[in-house]
Amino acid sequence: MNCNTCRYELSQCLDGRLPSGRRAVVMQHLTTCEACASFWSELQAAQQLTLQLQKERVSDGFRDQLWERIRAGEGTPDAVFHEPVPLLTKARYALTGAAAAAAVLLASTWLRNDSKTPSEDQVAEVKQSPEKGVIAAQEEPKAIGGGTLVGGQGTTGSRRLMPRQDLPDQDSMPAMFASAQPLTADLVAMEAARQFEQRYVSANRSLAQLTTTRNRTDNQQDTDLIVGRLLDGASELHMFAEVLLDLRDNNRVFFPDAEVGANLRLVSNMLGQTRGHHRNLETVQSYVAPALRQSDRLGNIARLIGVRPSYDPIEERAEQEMLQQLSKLRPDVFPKLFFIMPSTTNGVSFQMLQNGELFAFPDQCGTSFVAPRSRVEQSNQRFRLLIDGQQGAREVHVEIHMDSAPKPR
Amino acid sequence: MTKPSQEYQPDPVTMVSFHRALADHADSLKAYAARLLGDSTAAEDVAQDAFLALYRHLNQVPTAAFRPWLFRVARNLCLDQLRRRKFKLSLFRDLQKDDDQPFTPADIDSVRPDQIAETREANHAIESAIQELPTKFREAFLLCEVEGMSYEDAAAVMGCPVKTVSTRLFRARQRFKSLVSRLIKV
Repeated sequence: MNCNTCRYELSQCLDGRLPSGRRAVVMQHLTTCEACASFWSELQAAQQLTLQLQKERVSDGFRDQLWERIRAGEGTPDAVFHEPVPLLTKARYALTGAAAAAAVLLASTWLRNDSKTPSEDQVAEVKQSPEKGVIAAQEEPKAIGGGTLVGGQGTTGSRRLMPRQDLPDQDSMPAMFASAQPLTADLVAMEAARQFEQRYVSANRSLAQLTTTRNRTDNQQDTDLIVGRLLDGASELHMFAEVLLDLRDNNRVFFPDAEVGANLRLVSNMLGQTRGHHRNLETVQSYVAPALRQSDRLGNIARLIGVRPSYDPIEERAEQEMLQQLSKLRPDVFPKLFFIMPSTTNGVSFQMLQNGELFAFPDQCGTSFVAPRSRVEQSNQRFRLLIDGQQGAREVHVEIHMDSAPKPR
Repeated sequence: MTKPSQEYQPDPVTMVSFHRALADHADSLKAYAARLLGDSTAAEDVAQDAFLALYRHLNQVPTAAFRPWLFRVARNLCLDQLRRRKFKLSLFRDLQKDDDQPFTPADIDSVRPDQIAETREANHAIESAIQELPTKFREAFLLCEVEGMSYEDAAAVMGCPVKTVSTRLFRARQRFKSLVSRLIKV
C-alpha cells in the first residue's frame, strides 16, 4: 500500500468513515511501516489537543439583544446569502473557459478543412430515415444541422454557420433571417427565467409525485424514475439560476426584492450540491427537496426580476462580448435556452417561426441564428424543412416534442 | 440590510425548535466564527445575525437542517467580513487577543501556578496553529474536527463535494499536526 494513500485513509479512519475491510488493510500497513504508524499516533494525539480548546460562550446579553432586533423588525443582513467568490477564482474560471474555447476553435478549424460540405452531410442524415422523417426533440439540433452554440459549434463541417457579415447575397436570405435582431442579455435573462419557472413547477410536481408513490407503494422502479427526473431537473434549475445570477453580476438583471435574489442564490447552491453526490433518494431528500421548499415565489421568477434596457447600439460590442463570455463559461446552458438554426445556405426554411422570433448571435465562428425555446413551444411545435441537396429538394418534417420527459442519463 | 416583507409569526412548535437551536448552537456558532475571523466580538455579531436570519426564514428551513444552515450563514458572513478587511492592516491584533481573554480565576488548591501557565500556553499555541491554517483548510478543520460535524453537513456548509471536505480535512490535519508538534506527546 502507498504511504500517501494510507495517511489519507487514516484521516478518514479517525472519523470512523473507513469501511471495516479497508480499515483492516490500513492497520495491516501500520504494522509494517514505522513512518505511517508514527503518523497515526501523532494524528490521534493532535486530535486530543483540539479537545483542550477553550469553550467560547455567548455573552449574557446575547439572547436579549437578539429578541430586541427581532422585535424591532430588523431584516436579514445582505451578506447572509451571498457567497463571496474570490477574484482569483473568478479569473481562473474565465481563463479555463477561454483555454477550452481556444482548444475547441483550433480543433474545429482543423476539422473543417477535412470535412464534407454541409449539404452532403444533411442529405446523408435524411437518407437514414427518409420514410419517417420525424425526429424527436432530443435529436433535433443534429437533424437540422444547427449544432450547439458554443463548444459543439463548428466541430464538423455540417455545423458551420455562415458568418452573417460574410453572407454573399443578403437578398437571397429569407426575410426572417435578414431581419433577425441581435441577441441581447435581457432576452437571455427572460428565457432563463421562463425555463427556470417551467422546470421549477415540474420539479415540484415530481416531488409531490415522489411522496405519493412512496406512501402508496414500495415500487423501487417508480421511485428511481422520479428521483432521476428530479435530479435532472435540479441540474437544469441550477444552470438557469446561475445564468440569472451571472447576469445580475454583470448588471443586466436586478432583483427589486433582494430576498428573491438571495433565495435564488441559496437554492442554486443547494441544487448544485447534487452534482457531488450519488443519484439516489437521499440526495433528493437532502438537497433537492429543501431547495424546492425554500421559496414558492421562485416559481414566478420571470415576474420578479428586472432587466436593464433591452439594447443600446453604443454598447453593442460590450453586450455581445459579455454574452460570448457567458456562453463560453456555461456552454451547456445556451442550447437549453435556444434552438440553433442552420445556415440559410442549406436552403432550409422554418415556416412556423415568425419575424421577431429569431435572433442573431455573433461569435468567433460567425453568426448563429437562434430562437428562444419558450417561443418555439408556443408555436405549432412543428417545423417544415426543405433541404436542397445535390440529388434535388427533399421535404422533411421535424416535430419537437416539448412535453416529453427528458431522456434518462 | 433587507427589511422583512411582512411580520412573520412562527407557530409554537417551530418556536420551540428555534429556542432549542439557540440553546444548542449559539456557543458553537460563536466559536466557529471567532476562529474563522480571529475576533471574538465580531464573532458574536455574526452568530446573532445568523440566528436573526434563521428566525426570518423559519418557515423555509427544515428543523433538521438548522445546524448546517446556521453554520452556512455564519460562514458567508465571516467570509464577507474577511474579504472586506483583507487589505486593511489589522493593528494591535495581539494586544486585542490578550484583551479578549477573560480572566478566569484558577482553583488555587487543586492546580499549581506553573500548570495554569502551561495550559494557557498550550491553548494559545493550539489557537495560533488553527489561525495559521489557510481559510479553506481551517473551515474543514473547524467544522469536522472541532465541531464534530459530519462530512455531509460540512459539505453543505462549505458548498463543496463531500470528497473535497475529506481532502481539505486531511491537509488541515497534516498542517495542524506539524504546527503543534512540540505539544504532541506520543
